[in-house]
Amino acid sequence: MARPKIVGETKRPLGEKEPPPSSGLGPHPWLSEQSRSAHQQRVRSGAIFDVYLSRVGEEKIRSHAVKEAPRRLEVMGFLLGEACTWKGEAYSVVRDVVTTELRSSSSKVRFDPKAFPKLFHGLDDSGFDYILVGWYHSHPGHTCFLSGTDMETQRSMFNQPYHVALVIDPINRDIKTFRLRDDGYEETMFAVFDPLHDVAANTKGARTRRLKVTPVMQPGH
Amino acid sequence: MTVRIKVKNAETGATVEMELEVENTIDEVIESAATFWSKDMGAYVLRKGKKVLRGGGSLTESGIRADDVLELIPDPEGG
Repeated sequence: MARPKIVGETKRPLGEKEPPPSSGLGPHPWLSEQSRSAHQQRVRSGAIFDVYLSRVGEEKIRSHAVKEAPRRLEVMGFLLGEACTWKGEAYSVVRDVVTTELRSSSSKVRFDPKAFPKLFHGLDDSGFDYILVGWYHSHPGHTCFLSGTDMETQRSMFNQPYHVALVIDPINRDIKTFRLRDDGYEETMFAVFDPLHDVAANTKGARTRRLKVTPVMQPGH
Repeated sequence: MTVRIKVKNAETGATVEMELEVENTIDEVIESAATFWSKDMGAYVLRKGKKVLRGGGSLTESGIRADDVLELIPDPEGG
């Protein structure tokens, strides 16, 4: 019997699109004073951020991490969005996040293999033609960085320039985004945006998107 | 019988068109797509809608038909 044969590939190009407007941007509430200052400076300069995280997505991630913080359990999920360019610069937009039941401890986390259908339901329910622009997970009390395990995941799965690793520490109230660089990784700058201000998503020629604003977890803060 | 299906790479949005026989297995589909995109097949699952496709079952046994679009989903680990 013949083995499967790939007869063609269709790549998805990065969309040339204006980033969310500065009027709808804000720093994450857990940013340090130094990071907050850098955020404001970037907004004033008009330079684009590496990552735009929707307020809905940010709230889901924070709620998820905070919910499991008392038990010191890591949480994890996918970042759904799109990879774009604007005037020659690449950036990522995280429009929503999805997760499912997990197998986790204070230092490891994976999806529960039995819970993939719920994850797929979340992907289908996102309501737009997503790509996985990255993943999030928590380091409860361990600060924000990429461990050896995280780096293995990033290198093997999220190795495009637009791919994001978001790490959140709900104990120390810290959050950072990272991407691969050379043999290691670097921190990137992200902003939280309000989709209601995201006129770029609704400009002429853009695909219509309707996001379901349905938090999957109760805020624990 | 030969059929064609599409497999989407969830990480990039790219799609491959794959020609295969209905007796081919799900593992072979995953292996072919993972190899094409230089991925570790053991770190991925394949989905059709909300159903996880696994293992040595054939396309027929798994309900895969011509022109179906499957999606290769990463199974990450954080630490």
